Order: sequence, then C-alpha cells, then structure tokens
Amino acid sequence: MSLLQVSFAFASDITPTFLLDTVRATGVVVEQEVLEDQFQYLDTFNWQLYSQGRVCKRRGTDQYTLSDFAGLDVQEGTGPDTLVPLAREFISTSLGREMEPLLGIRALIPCVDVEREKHFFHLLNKDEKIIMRLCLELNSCTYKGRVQETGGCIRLYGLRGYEKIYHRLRQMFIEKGLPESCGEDFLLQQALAVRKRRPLDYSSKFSVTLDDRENISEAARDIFLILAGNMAENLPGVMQDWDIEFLHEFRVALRRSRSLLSSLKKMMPADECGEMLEGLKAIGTATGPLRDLDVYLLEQGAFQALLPESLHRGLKEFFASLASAREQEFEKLIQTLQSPDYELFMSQWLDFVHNRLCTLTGGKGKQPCRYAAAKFIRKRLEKILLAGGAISEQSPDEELHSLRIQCKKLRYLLEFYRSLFPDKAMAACIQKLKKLQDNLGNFNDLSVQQEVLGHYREHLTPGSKKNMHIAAALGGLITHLQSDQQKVRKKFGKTYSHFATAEHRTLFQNMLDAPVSCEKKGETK
Amino acid sequence: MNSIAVYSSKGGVGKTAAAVNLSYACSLRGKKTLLCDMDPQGAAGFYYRIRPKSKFNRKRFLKGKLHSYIRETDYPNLDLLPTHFSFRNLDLALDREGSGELKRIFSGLADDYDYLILDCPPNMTLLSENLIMAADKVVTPVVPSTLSILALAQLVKFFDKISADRKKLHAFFSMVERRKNMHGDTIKRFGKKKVFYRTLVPYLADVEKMGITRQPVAATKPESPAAEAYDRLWLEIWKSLFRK
Repeated sequence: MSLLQVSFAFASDITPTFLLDTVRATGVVVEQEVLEDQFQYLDTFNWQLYSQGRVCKRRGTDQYTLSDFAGLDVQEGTGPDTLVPLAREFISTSLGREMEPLLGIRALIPCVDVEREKHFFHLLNKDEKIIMRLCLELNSCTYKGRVQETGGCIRLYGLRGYEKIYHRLRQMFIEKGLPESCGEDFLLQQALAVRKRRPLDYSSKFSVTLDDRENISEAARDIFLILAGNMAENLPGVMQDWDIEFLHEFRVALRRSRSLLSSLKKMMPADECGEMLEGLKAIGTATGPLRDLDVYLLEQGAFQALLPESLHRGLKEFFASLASAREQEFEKLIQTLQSPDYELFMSQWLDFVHNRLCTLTGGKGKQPCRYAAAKFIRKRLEKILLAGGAISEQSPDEELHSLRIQCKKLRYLLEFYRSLFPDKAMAACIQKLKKLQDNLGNFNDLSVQQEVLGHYREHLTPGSKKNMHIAAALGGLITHLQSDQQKVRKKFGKTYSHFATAEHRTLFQNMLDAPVSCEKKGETK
Repeated sequence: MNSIAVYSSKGGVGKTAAAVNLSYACSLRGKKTLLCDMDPQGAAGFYYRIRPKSKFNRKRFLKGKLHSYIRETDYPNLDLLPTHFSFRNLDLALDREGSGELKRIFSGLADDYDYLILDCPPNMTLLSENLIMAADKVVTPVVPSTLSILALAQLVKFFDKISADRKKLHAFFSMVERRKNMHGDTIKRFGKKKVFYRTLVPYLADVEKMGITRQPVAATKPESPAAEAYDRLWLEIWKSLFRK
C-alpha cells in the first residue's frame, strides 16, 4: 500500500473523461483492469455504526466488511445470511466480536444497494516506468427499478521517489474544485442521496427545535407531529420484528404523545381530549404485553447468572414458555396494527393534531410557549418535591412508583421544551433528574419483575416435573430480586436528598427564569 | 534486515541479471526488498526503468541520506536505490572512512526493508571490501570455465586478506550452456563444493531480452527456465541466511 494516497470525490455530473484528461496532461495513461463490485450498505435503524465512525457492507448474502470511514481498520468475514441480521447471529468470529458492542441489540438493516466499477490505471513516464497508480470508482444505485449514477471517486497512489508528479496532480484536482478525501462515509452519503436519505436521519434521542415566538398549542403541534413521525418510522420494524427496539421506540413516542396531551388537557374540552387520550392509551395497552416479554427475554442471561446451575433447567423452561408466549403476542399485535381501527385512529389523531388542536385549546393555547412551558415544568417540579419529601423509609412502595411517574412526566417536559431554555442549564437539570429516575426506575423494574414472576408461579399447574423445576427457579429469582430491590430502596433517600438540594432547586429556577434570548441548537429531526 | 551482495570481480558473468531477478523473486514473497545499484554503469536501474534523481550523487550517498533517493519499481514490495556516475570514485571517499562505512550507511534502512540486495561493480577495490563487509551473504556468479574458477579462488584469498568471514561467501554457476563440454566438466568437478549453491542459471535468450523488455524475466515470462532458476536460487540463498 502506497504511503502517498489521496482520493477525490466527484458527483454524477462530472464525467470520468474529464478526470482522465487531467491525468493525461501529465503523461501516458494506460488502463489496467476493471473490477466490478456489488454490495449493500447496512446500519442499524438509528445509525449506530455510522455514529461510531463505522461502515458495514455486505456482498452476496453473507460476506460482511466493517471498516472505518477511511476504509482502514477493516474486519471482514462470513456472517449470517438473514436479510436483517442481529449481532448475536455473527457467531464467535472476530467480525462478530467487533460487531457486538457496536450493534448491541439492534439489527443491521439494508440501507442501499450499490454497484461499483473500479477502473485501474498506470501513469507512465517516457521510459514507460509507472510513476503513479490511479483508481477510478464509478458508483450507481438501483432505486425504484431505475439505475442512477451517484458519482464516485478518483484515487491517486503516489510512488516512492516520484512524489513530484503525485503532488502536481493532487494540486490540479484541488484546483478543479473536487473535494479531497473521499471516505466511505462520503460514498455512503452519495448512495443514500438516491433514496432521498442521509446518514443520521433518524435518532433514538428525541430532539425538536421550537420557535419561541410560537404559542403553546403551536409548539405542542410541532412536537406531536415529530412523535407521530417517530411512530410511523418505527412501525415497519415493529411489523417485521427486525429488533425489539422498534417497538420500544414506537411506545416511547406514544407515551410522550400521551404525556404531552395530558399536560394540555385543562386547556381543551374534556371529551375531545379524553377521546384522543383513550385512543393513545389503547395502542399502549395493545403493545404492552409484547414489550414486557421482550424485556424479560432480554434478561435471560442476567437471570441465569443469579441462580445456581441446579435451577438453570427450570429457568430455561420458563424462558421457553415466554418465547412461545411472545410469538402469540406478536401475532396479536400485528393484527391490531393492521386493523382498520388502528388506521382510523391514527388518521383521526393526525387530523386532531393538524387541524383541531390549536382551535380546541382556545385562549389558553395562545400563551407564549416559553411562558407556558416554564409554568408546566415549575408545577411538575413542585409536585415532585412535595411527594418526594414526604417519602420515608416506612412509606409504601406505591409512593415511589407514583414519584417515578411524576419524574418521567417532568423529564418529558424538559425534553419537549429543551430548545426554549439555555441548553447548558437544561442539560444539567436533566442530568440531576436522570440520577433520581435511575434509582426509581430500578426499583420499579425489580418490583414489576417480582410481581410478574410471582404471578406466573402461582398459575403453574402443580404435579408436573417441568412445572416443579420452573417454580423452583422462579422462587430463587424472586428471592434475589427482593434483596436487590431492598438495596435500591435503601439508596433512594440519599439519591432524593441529592436531587432536592437548594442548589439544584436554584439550578431549575435559574434555567426557567433565564432571558428569552437563549442559545438555539440545530434541529436534528 | 538481511543484506546480500551480488559480487564478482569479473564483468559479464550475469551479476546484474542475478541481482535484478533475485530481488524480484524476493519481493514476490511479500518481503520488503531494496535493490541497491552500486555499479556506476547503472544497469540495474536501466532494467527497472529507473533513473536517479537529479540531486543524487556520491556525496549524498556517503552522508547516508538514502531515503529521499529511493524509488519504487513497478512491482509491489520492491524499491531501487539508483546508482550515480559519481559512484565510480566511491573508493576515494571510502579510503578515508574505513571498511565499515557502507555497513553504517545501509543500517539506516533496516526499519524499512527486510532484504537489501546489492548489485556490486566488477572490481576488487576498497568499495568491494566495504560491500563484502557490509553484506550478510556474498553471492558470486561463476561462469563454468577455468578462468572463472580461478577468479573464485582469488576471491576466497581476498576474503582472507580482508579478514572477512569465508562462510558468507557463496557461488552459483551462471550462464550455463549444457551443450558446452567445458561447462559440464567444470560443474561436475566443482559443483559439489560447499561454496556452490545447487541451482544452475542457464544461458538463455530470455535473460538477454531483459535489455529490451526492461523487466525481470519472471515478470514477462514466469514460465521461463531462467525465471524458475532465479526463483530456486533465491530460495537457496534465503535458506543459507538462516544456516549456521
């Protein structure tokens, strides 16, 4: 590999002849060979590879290449031949070991198919000695049955001792305005442009930039539309069951929508708002059981580690029954999501958001969004401080669960209206809240897990050996979970006190009272 | 980095052809190889179509700044340091510096290359002494004739005179013509001596045509017996490098 190398990207409106003529002005150009390459770019739905500086390509059905943007640091090998593979399907190969931390539980989704022609050339001097090597790459993508040129790149490989010509040609291409350094990221961008897409065009992280001149109902409409978009974007992944995060993100968008609508309900007629809230809740209820099962199935390894080997058999049987229950729940969910009722509600919801929301909210909806948002946040924070301050070691678990929900509502409010307040202060407030939420979330998870496992154990039919094994394993698990929950509960007091310090209250207060001319972030949605 | 000097005090024995083809055989095995053209006639550079950079000369060579003057050949893993006309007077300078000077100069290349192959000029001077001292192996082509055998004997004496290790001297029969009785007799009589590698490099038009193709034989005619012979010879040299 030559130490001197550079690549220049070019768009489809630049002809290869134009580029080669530039090279021909410096010596004799001889074409060597042409290689054809066909591959597919893959990434997770939320661009986990791209955002970590990696690009994955698949040739044929199972030959994978993972590289950095410079095309170096390459891992390649045979992988799963499923259309949408998961990291766990790359069985114990170095490629798999590389993939696992990058992908986590997300699946690799095909993004775009590329056909690449590589033309190799030599540039010769008067002695017919090679003084530079070149590679011209021409890319095209097939989309909607039509082949479209996407441009490509020209790569120059300088030879030791012949640096002058390399630098001269490099300069000539720079002067012609070609962008230098054509990495894999650029080629992926070019290919995606054919599909009117771009890398990072979806993020799991919620983000919206609101105009602080809008009123609260207009701002809410903007947020609802983004959330509805999130649901629509995740729906195909839910239906195809590509990975469990599609359903999770679908549900998160749904929950956010419910939470936002609830925060506005006092501004509009109860029946209209209630109808929409009911509709959103129904979707949440329909998707809940599958999500719960996904979460348990994900815990299989962790649960197994908690138990002695003698109880593993029972645990395995328990998870086998969960897996089969998941299949049934998935079928049920698909039916719901394909039903006319779902379609009808979603169109009603969009109509509500687009056309009726601003009218229904009336005069209260005309409040400046920043003013109203600050009021919502302040009120929610007060509720949390009141409820949290009342929790003692003797308080029932329900009070912690209720506080968790309050905190979640506050978190959503902070995220919805983040762009209206100083970003640094907002980030600090979210960070403080997150620590409290983590404690309450862990407490709730452990509580729900015990409840579900206990419920499952109670309904086991006695008599069979299999059920005896399962009951023993579940009993062991519940004991562990109880002890873990107690530990988490013990930490609550300290975590809450840390959240509720005077200093942190002032942090929230100052953030909400900051001047309107707060810094604006770029919109990522 | 291992260094191999292809050396003979006689001219026209196939020294440069050997250096060019051996360096190519070495590079084909994926080893980073530098062919160093020490002969001011510049035949090795000619075969690889490489001319020296205009600023290169004896003075710069002796300063040890070789990196800027090395040029890539048309083949992967193979670079060449071209000679310069002023190299004909390298002796004068080396006289002042001592016999270890070339070894010191070449040591600066150790990080870049696995093998250094030296195409030496045909004489027996201070430069030859320096080249012999610098190399891990000295490989000398011997045309199967009485005079060449005498030259080899002279070389052995030269080794003793300059206190070089005789074990690093190896010879091979070059430009072998089977139809010539004298060649057959000489090979029969001396070929089994320890100093000789077993490979016989035949006298073939393919080697002579290198002057026209300006490429190693194996690059244009990989199936040629000459290409095969140089490849076998390289393997023998390579093995002998690791033999005590």
